[in-house]
Amino acid sequence: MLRAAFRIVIGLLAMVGAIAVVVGASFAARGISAKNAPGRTETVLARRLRSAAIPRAAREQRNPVAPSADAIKEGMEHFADHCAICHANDGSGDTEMGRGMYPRAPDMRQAATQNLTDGQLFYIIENGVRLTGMPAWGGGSEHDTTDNWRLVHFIRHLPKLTDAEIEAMKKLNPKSPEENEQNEKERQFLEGGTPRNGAPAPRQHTHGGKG
Amino acid sequence: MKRVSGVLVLVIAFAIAPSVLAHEGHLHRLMGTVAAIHGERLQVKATTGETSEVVVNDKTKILRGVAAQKASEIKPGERVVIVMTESKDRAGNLVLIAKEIRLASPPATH
Repeated sequence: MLRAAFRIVIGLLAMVGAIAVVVGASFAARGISAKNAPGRTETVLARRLRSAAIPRAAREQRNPVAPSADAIKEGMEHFADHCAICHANDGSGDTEMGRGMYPRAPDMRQAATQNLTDGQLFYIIENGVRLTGMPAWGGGSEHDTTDNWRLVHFIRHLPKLTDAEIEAMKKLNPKSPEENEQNEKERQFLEGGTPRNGAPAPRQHTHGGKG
Repeated sequence: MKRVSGVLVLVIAFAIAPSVLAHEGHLHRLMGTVAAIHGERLQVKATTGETSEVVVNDKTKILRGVAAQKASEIKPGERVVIVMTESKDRAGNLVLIAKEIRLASPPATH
């Protein structure tokens, strides 16, 4: 009995030591750079840890907002305004912000997100996820709560999102005056107009995202 | 003990797991006219007169208005607005990769 307990203690100490060595080696090799995406094992471990950290009651929560075209539309408008800067309008995560985060913003159309329960999605939106770029959006008001449940409906809709819906969302994405001006110039150009003098260079750097 | 060993294996795998997908650079926009098409490469003459070569791949989204188009529907002489990234090929050459190409909408019919 004592021997078994001793083995467990030694095993645990070895594990802690190994983790310390591994984390230390990882930092020594890569520093705090977010340039490369996490490896597969780290991703799997982190997702399991995230799932385990969501209380069962939250995981099993049902969406109190009835599914409807209006709920999806309102979720879509909210997503375009607040979420798309990292997640992209189509949920792919293919934005400058999303691609540069550690971990990368996930492609929410894929099983790793779609297989989460409504309660898990809501919990993540409300509480955020530590050590990722995902902030907590739960303000505690009834309005916030309803908005976040509508977002859950919209996330379920992402795999079926149409090009027309994405185009509609682009009009709702927050833009700087310079981006609006550039978009207007591009629209005029495509319609056969000539960019006026003083316009930004035709090949221009931008901070916008995709989709 | 087996469980502890299993965790250790996972931790070590975590440390040595290869990182994937290097960081993609900033987005750039190009406004110009298609000068030529060579397979998956578009030569685009910008409104300033500078000509750039842009790669179109299967991830490139091509839109005419709001309608999705195929790369084969882009014709020389067309006006385009391209959102693209810069990356390097295996030889270290800078390559422009189109993420989205916007084409002029077809004229409205009444």
